[in-house]
Amino acid sequence: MINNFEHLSNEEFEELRRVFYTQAYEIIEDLQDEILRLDNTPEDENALKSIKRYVHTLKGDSNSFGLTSVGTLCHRVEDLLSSIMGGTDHADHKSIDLLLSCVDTINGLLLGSESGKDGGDIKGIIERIDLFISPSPIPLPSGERIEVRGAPFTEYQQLQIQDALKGGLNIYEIEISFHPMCGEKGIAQLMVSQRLNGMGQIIYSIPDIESSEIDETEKMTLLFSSKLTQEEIKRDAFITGITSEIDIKDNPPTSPFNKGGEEGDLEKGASPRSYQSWGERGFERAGQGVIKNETLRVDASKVDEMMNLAGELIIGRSMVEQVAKDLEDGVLIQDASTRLFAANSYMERTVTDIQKGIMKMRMVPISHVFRRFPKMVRELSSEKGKLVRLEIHGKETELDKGIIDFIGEPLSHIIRNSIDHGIENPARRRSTGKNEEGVIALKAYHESGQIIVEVSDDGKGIDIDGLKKKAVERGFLSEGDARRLSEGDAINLIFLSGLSISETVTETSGRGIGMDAVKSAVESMKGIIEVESIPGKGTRFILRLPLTLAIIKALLFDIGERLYAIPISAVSEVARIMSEDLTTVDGKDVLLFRDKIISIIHLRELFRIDGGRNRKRFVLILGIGEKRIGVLIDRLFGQQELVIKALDEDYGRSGLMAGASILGDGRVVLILDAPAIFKKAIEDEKAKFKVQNETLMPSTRHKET
Amino acid sequence: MSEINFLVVEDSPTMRQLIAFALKRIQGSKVIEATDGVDALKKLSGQKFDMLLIDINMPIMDGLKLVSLVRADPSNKDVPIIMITTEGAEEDRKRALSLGASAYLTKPIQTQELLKVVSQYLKQ
Repeated sequence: MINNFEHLSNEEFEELRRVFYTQAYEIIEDLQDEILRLDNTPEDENALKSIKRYVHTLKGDSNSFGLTSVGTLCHRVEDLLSSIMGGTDHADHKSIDLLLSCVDTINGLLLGSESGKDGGDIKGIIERIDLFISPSPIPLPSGERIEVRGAPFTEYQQLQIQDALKGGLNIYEIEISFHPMCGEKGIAQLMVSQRLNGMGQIIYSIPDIESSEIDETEKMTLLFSSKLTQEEIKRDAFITGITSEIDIKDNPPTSPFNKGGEEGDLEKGASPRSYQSWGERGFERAGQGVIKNETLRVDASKVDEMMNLAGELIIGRSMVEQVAKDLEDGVLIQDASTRLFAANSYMERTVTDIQKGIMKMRMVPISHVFRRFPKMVRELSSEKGKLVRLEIHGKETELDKGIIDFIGEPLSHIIRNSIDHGIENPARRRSTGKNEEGVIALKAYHESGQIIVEVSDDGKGIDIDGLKKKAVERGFLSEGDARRLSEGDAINLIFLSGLSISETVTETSGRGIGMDAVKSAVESMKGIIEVESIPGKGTRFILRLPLTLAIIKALLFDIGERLYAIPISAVSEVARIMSEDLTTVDGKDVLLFRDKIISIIHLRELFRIDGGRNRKRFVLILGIGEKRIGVLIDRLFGQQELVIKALDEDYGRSGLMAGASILGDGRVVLILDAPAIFKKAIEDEKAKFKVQNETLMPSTRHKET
Repeated sequence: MSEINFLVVEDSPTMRQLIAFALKRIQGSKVIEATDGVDALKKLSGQKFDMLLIDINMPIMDGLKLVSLVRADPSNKDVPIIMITTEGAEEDRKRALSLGASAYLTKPIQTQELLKVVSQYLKQ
């Protein structure tokens, strides 16, 4: 099949490859949507029809692209669909599950072939399809492959053999020698195959008549299925002057069709855990996206809009050019400057529009991520014997493509935990007066320049005392600390690494499979995760994410002579203070602000900055959830939109910088990483806490984390 | 040598790309792509083509309907039409030919075969 692409240049092949995989993954997503729609409304003929269309397109594409394993499987899925359509009953759960498994398998094959790995094998899933279509299946020729001159059969050929056997056809191995007088062997091969095609089906031929290259051989070996007998074939295939000898052997009785041996395949395909592999593969793809040149589907109208704006930019440039020329010619400076200002504001508008336009192009509705969850919830809850309904709100909310690619993993972690540990089993729910069916709600919406994604459940909530107990057992906290810890702070213990990983299955431990991983994933997206829980009522995770990763609205300020910026979304308030407003509590600087004690973090010391230090200063109050910390700064310069540039590793080493940006006047500004600073502040708080405790109670030991 | 204008009507981007790359081998070829029957009619109304390659299975307006509409237009009475069909779709092929298609190719498309058929009908 590869020789089908020999005429393509590398670039062309890459382009074709890109188009193929992009489209294939789109089809996979559409298929999942349609299958779930069918699940909700089994009588929906349209859903079935579109599924069929998608599978058909994917089959054609894959076969043409040379990915025959996908083509073969699609072919069988078409059979499965026909059997569902032709059946008296509507699509039931069994058929939906099977369809979803097929899509999973296809996705795996695609991912495998795209990354040059083995995508796995389709025998297991094809056996399941066969079992479904005809409950007493004819054994698939699996296991050892039949060899024709050392060439193993492709899956498609095996399928043809299987189809032929099922249809009661005979399978023959035919060897045809050509007449010595026959000059054009290539034509002879074509003639023979045409003749044979009228009598049955050629499964395999050496040389390959499908290939465009003509092989000048004296002999042709074919695997052939037909309802005719050996004698009939011998008689009809003979062409005077072309063929000399035709040797026909019965193939099936002599070939080792192995029924057993690969039972594992069936199990593999039928695994109820397939949702997991789907999820993981999904991340695999998302992960690759960072390195690879990803493609983005953009509305043609958006591109047109950009084109118009580019045109306006050119007008702006010629306006400036004209002013420059006029100045050269000696026009009045005042005149020129007025027009320069006009040109500038014209350009400014255009540039802003271009920026907005490009950002819009990068925005993708979050439904791309949400769409995989109904299936996951369905499978997981039935596996756990729970009744769970998934409610989705705000799936049209748009997020930056870069975030979309990474948000799926943490969300599915949270949802899995909700089903595993949050939602009670039906009996328990009934006994506590709840509806038997638990609800997990997935919400996305905009809030003050951020995207909020919430996952809430009406399960049993997080057992805070249990959490504290475990934190003490693991040495994260002393018993005294645990007692002092407010509920709001204690709940955040679930994000501690190591605390949530093991023993999560016990009833009391509540939730927490790798919540620390979820947290760091969210933080890597410059986001913040919060959790709220009411015992017996449920739990809510709130993810606050930036609209985009590339541009932020930031507050500019300096400390000493150094210029910094911080994302405005992290700042809850700015206050003007005098040095004497600061007090020391437990050896730490704190600020009494609106009747609350707020810990202060000294960036001046962290970054070793000299100079400045006025008596009158500003404090930025950073807020995450209920928690507040203060950052002392010297001067404030207002807010500005900044394009984030990544920092060199050397500069980024402190871990407190999110990046840098260049201002209009050419100055470089460092952008602080608000969540990292927050974390640092909290660690400091704890460290001081511990030092004190150790001096008071020398018996308890803690390791610095 | 003058330009040879092809219209490729196919809903799958992969197939369109594959066919377009194959047709690029033909000197002077220029390929216009359409994603369905309606799109194809729009493009047909604006320009004259030397050959149409049409997929049968398409959304909005399928290939068979398109062939009958193309042939109903006197100016396109003789333009060669090659249908792209899937294996097994015997009925569709027969219908396409009876509606006025000149020839058909079967997916998976083999480049050599495509070029052979195309050059054969271009000469006519």
